[in-house]
Amino acid sequence: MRNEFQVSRICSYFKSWVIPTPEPYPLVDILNAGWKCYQDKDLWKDSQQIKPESRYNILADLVLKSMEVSEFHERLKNSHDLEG
Amino acid sequence: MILKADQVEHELENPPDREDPLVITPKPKLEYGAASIDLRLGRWFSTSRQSRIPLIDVYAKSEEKPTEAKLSKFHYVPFDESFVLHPKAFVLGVTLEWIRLPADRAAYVIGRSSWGRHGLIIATATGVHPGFTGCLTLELSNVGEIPIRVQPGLTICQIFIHEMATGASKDVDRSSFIGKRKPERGTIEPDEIARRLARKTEEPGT
Repeated sequence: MRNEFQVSRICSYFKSWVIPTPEPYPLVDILNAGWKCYQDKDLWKDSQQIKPESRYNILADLVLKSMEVSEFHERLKNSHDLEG
Repeated sequence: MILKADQVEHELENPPDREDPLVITPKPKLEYGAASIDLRLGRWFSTSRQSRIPLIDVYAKSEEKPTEAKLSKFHYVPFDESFVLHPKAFVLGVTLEWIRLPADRAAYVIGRSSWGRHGLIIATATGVHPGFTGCLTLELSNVGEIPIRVQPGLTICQIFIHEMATGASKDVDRSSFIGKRKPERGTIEPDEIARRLARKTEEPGT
């Protein structure tokens, strides 16, 4: 189930700092945050760094990288569980 | 001034400016007292499509220059698979970590000597400007004589983070590499001086 609090938090990472999630999050929340930002017409409107034409490519990269960060933590956790 | 790993960790946990923090994600393993932080190899590689390009001509008109897709072939390597770097191979890789530098920090990335002694070098010391956000492209080259197997997650290079002497820079990085998670070649454009120097000199009397 989608967690609105986590979705908002992920959106703030994407919007405010243009970074993927620093901690692991469920895929459903990452995906929902991605769509929420996609629908935001003002996404990075005032950013000097991000050109309007590259906005959605950057957003897609943030979503996919967040999933990778989650996989990274998941794999470490699983290997720890196996060893422990 | 180079930031020690302890300071970097402190900044990652408690950013002095929450509006403009230093971010490295996934968080790297920090060695206390060290001047640099090890970064890991990411999951994307890019090789040249040699058969499609006769040469790289930076003076060609923009519309005649090959596109990134024509120039490069991307390879996705999962965490549990590997990529073999053959002798003389030149490959673009990427850091696993996404890095965001605040306006008062700059950095540079170099290879690790332990890899270098086996022939794997990071071809250039990549400078990272204030305001950069994204994964760093690495130019990997095997200058040795034996193929090297690499795998995503290996510590491959190190980053030195510097504090800007004059404080925060207003001119943040606006390069086209902002916000990327895959390696990119980008384009090279000769500047105005290079173009003027390259102009053919007219023969006297013509």
